[in-house]
Amino acid sequence: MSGGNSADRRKGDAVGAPLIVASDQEVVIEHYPEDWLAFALFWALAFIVFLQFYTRYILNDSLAWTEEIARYGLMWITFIGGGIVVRKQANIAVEVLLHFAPPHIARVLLAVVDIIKLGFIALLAYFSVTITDRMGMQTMTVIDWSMSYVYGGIAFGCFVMLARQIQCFWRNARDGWRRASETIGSGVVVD
Amino acid sequence: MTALFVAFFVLLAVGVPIFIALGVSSLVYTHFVAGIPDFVVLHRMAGGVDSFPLLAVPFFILAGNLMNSAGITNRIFAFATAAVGWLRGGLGHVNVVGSVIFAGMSGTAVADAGGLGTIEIKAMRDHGYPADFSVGITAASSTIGPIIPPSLPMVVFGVMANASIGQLFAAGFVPGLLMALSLMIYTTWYARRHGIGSDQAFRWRVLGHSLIAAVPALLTPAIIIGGMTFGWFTPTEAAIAACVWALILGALLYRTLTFRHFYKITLDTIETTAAVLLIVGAASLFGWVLTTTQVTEKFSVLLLSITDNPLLILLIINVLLLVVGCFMETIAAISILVPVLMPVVLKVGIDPVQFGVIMVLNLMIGLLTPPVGMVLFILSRVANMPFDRTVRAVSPFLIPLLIVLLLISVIPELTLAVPKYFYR
Repeated sequence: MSGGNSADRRKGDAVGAPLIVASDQEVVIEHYPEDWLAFALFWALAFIVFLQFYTRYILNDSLAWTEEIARYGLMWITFIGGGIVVRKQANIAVEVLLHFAPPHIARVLLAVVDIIKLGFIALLAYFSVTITDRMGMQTMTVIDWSMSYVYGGIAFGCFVMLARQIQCFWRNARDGWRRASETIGSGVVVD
Repeated sequence: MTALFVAFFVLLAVGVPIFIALGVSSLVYTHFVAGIPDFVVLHRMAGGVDSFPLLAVPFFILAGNLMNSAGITNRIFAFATAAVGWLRGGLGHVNVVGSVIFAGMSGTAVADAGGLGTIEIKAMRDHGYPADFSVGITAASSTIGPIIPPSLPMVVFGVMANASIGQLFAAGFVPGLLMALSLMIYTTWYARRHGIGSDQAFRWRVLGHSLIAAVPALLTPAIIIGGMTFGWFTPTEAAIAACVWALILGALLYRTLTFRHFYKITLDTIETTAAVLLIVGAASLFGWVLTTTQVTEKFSVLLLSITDNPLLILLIINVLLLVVGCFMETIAAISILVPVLMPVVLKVGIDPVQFGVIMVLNLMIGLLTPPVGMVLFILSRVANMPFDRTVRAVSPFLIPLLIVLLLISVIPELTLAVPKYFYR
């Protein structure tokens, strides 16, 4: 049994890995600055939540700042990670029409979608500056730090999204949304 | 007001990312109707993500991803084979039992379909099972994943509906097992009709060996579910504990996890988290717009003018959800619809916890229906089967799942008994 088991595992992993881990058995890693930042942020966040758990159970005295900082960290991850999602053009959307439309119409639709995306993300980036500016007065609940730090991180994420969307828009516009129309339905899968 | 809805549905239909469709139509409201400063849009979006329970989202996604890469799925499969492979329709049952165990560690259906499902379909093909049956049972059993805790959709439901995530998790138990039972009954019936026997004689020795090999993996659901029901962990902490355990298994015990894998898995997790939470944030912005413009109020008046019988209301909502589930991703549907549906549900006295399980199960069925069914997409790729044939292969399996949906809609005790026992 154990022999068959390990053979199964090798075969299973060869088939199973692509969908979950990578597109190839050989893990291909592309390097982008926002990826490194998000990676560091994510594990810092994991450490802080772990710290909260540890201080509450082992030391019987939960560190009050951990909960608050963890919440802000999640906000940063959302918006900076948003940059990664935009770069990969993997935002979750209802893609029925794109699926069933004939290719040339799908390309027009994709162009429209890209323009709306670009416009809205640009507005978000603009709003983020306004908010960061206005939040200078307010401080966090537990720690005496300005809320501008929190919104500064979000603003940074918004600008990463904007930069990546401009890049994608430029690349797509140059080939007339041809490649984009071939990869419809390759977005993030969550359910 | 109509402008808001027209904008929203047109944007959605054209294929604009959901969070942007929500954001743009909310912006139409703040700018043209309400005259509120526009930056409120971003402020509300960010505020929608500012929640401690939502932290469970990234870590449950990470735990599922780590489990799939740590060679754990194969051990679960081997154990399930030894345990129920001797039944008539052997691997069909193995498929269901494996999914139930995996459901205790992963919070999504696609993690199940893509990880365990791949092994299951291959094994069933090697043993000569009809391809349609293999794909159908794999698809149907993968939907148990988010019903049995932990569950990503239920975390999002709990945050949006302001319901206890711990209670929602506990409430998913019985329905999840009912789903498994109904699918196993179907499998037995199918096996009798098509003369499929068992795959492996039952032997205590084999069961014992596979159990010992699977113990570290089986500890994961024990840690998560046990820790939460006995009140040691909050859902977020349970998610962290699951990640730590999966890391120990993958990096130290099974040694299947390299740093490159680890980096890749983390980034995949971040990507999924961001894609989901952007929608959750934008949906809470949109929900705020719907509430201040009293759209939710009007909707509940409209629905209550048809009937105020809780069962009929649930029936209507179920039909609505089944339709939405055909087109929209689960978590997006939950975060958009909860603000709209919750007032009615509370007004007719339906327990939010029961409603949460109904909603998630209903949307899970949506994963198995065209035109947009994520599990269908994944399995048609895994099994190398044309999409329309996959749809037909899966369709008979909707019947047992719909029966369970009906049961939990009609009998509240099926969902509420367990949380009532643990959270008095």
